[in-house]
Amino acid sequence: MTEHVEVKARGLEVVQARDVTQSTIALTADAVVVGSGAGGGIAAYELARSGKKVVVLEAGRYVSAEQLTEMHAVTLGTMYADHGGQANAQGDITILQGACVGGSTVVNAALCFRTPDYYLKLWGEKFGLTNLTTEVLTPYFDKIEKNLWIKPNAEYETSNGAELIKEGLDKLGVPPGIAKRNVKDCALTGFCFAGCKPERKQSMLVTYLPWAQAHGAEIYADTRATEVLTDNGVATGVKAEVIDPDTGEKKADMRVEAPIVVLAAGPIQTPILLMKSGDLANSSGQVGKNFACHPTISLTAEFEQDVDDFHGATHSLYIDKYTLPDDGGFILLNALEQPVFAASSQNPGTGKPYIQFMEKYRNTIRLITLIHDRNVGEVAYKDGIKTIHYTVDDEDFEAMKEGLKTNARILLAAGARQVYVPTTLSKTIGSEDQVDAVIDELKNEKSRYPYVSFHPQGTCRMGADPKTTVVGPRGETHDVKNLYIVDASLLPTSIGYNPSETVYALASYISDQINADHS
Amino acid sequence: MPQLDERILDVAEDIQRMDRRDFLKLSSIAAGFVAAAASGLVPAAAHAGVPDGISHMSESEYAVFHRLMEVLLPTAGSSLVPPGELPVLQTVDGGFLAGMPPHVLEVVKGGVAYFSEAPKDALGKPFVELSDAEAVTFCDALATSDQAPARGLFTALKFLVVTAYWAIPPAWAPTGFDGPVFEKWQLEYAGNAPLPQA
Repeated sequence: MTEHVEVKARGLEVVQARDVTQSTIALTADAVVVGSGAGGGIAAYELARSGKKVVVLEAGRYVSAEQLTEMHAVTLGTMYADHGGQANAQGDITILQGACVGGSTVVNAALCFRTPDYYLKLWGEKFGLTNLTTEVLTPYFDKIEKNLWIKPNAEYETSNGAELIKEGLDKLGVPPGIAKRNVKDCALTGFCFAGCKPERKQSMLVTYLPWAQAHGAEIYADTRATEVLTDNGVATGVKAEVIDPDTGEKKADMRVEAPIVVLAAGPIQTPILLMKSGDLANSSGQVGKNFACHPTISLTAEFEQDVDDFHGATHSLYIDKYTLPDDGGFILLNALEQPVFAASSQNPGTGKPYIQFMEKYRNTIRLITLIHDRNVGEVAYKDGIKTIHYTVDDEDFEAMKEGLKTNARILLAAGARQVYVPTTLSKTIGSEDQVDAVIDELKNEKSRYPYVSFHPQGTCRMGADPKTTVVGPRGETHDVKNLYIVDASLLPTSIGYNPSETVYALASYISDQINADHS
Repeated sequence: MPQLDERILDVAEDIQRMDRRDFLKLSSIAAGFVAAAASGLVPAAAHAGVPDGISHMSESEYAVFHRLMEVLLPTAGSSLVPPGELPVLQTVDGGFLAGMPPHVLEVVKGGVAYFSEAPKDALGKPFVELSDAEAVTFCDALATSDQAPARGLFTALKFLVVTAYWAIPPAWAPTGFDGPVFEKWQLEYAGNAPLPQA
């Protein structure tokens, strides 16, 4: 255990492409962690804290708080996967993922939920994860909630739109959930999705990564792992490339020799890295399979009065009365939305109708419908191109429709003059008695709805059976010793709630297993 | 205009005969947004016949995007900023097209070309020569088409143009949205959290 560790007051020491002058870099470490988001950040700290020499490789840029712009369009280009354009093969589901030091924790809305008991039991029964009980995981939830300042929103942590929605919920007798977020002294800018410039969100950037550095961890940005190295079925390190993010030019080849390899590149890149490594850890054939993503559709409500739902807590309330599959399978979340996102959220008609819609932007609020979805997708990689095969399942679409009905009723009860339903030519609902008729008309068609996903998951699922799962119950891959996975690709099913806290807890749990195996 | 509507619907149906895979690719990359200014990308040499700041569109492609911008954003008589006063197509060029891998950019260019030529058979003229009414009807027909590729094509091109417009801060003022607040509100950096005790 390192003595007298000190955390830097601000920022991180990160080796970036611009710092690299040699064409080859050879490193040795006790552990190499691929990815620096929710899973990677926690693993880096927990392993470094136990005295291990840790190297963290992050494919994305390092963007300091000073460099944040509070403009979503710019952030999409610099801090999200594929410059914000990551999508399924059909192109009708935008799959947003952070691609920067700190990963999605930097650009998410900080909403946290413990994994519902329902899913822990299901995972135990169906996937043999009898070790992941509520009793076992509760101390991990307690710990990360303390470390990341996860607390229910204070009364002032709200927004103009959320207050209107609360009125609708009151009228309908639907209980609101008060969001728990990993935010300390929220400044209410409303720019969570662009990164928290005042550093109030307790992302990996200001918590586990600087803590890991305090214990000696080294962080390399602009560095994409290209191959997991093995020897006789045992992980031995990682190959990587340092790429200048401005020019796309390779600056250096890197090789990290390490007896512990931890993958935390996320549910898209982790399976791709295994595929690039000679279809590694895939005797089950499940690497890349079982992709789910919690598709969302937002309804836009237009009010007579100006609402100016511009700033405040990005998320402050939710409705989860219907979230478990047997109850409906959807959750509703309020969210702030900048004009650049609102611009393509609805198509009320080409030309003048669109202009009239956007002139009313300050009169509008949004309520998101997010569904628990089946693991019907797949991440594939061929000839250097990744493809995310996923279309919304018919039964899941029915859950979406039920969610949209509830969503619309809440917005109308809140006093909305009309509610826009985003099909390729938006429909509008002006009164409660129109809700069923309008929503029932919707069909599960490709390229019809502007879906957005914030929660890819499930591509290296965890379970006891090596024939049907990629990762064992303690986080080590079934096939390759000392190769661990700690990101959302582990999840055997989607969980219907924002999965960040589940990943935090699993990463903490698996880090303990690694430390136990490699003390 | 029932006759016009019917003819345009025919055009929309024709679009399904395009290479379906191309449309799928087009719609999937259209959501991409690269902040060229922020990432320091160096523009390639400009083509002849296009304004400064346009490096990845040919003259004919620029004409299609320009006409589409006029059709999608007819701000006359509204409170919104006229798109001609903002670098909208420069943002499409530098913000979207500049960051696309070559093979993806080719797909986009193919989509633009088809979008341009699609009305010719039924209406006898390309998209850039359609009247405002014809162009609006054409776009709405694509949006409501039974064919997913047609819907994907229109959604993708619309996304590029309207997102570029709304990415430009001067466009926000008429909506009341006041943009970044860190400096305006005199906020301070909170810095790193101290080491946890847990």
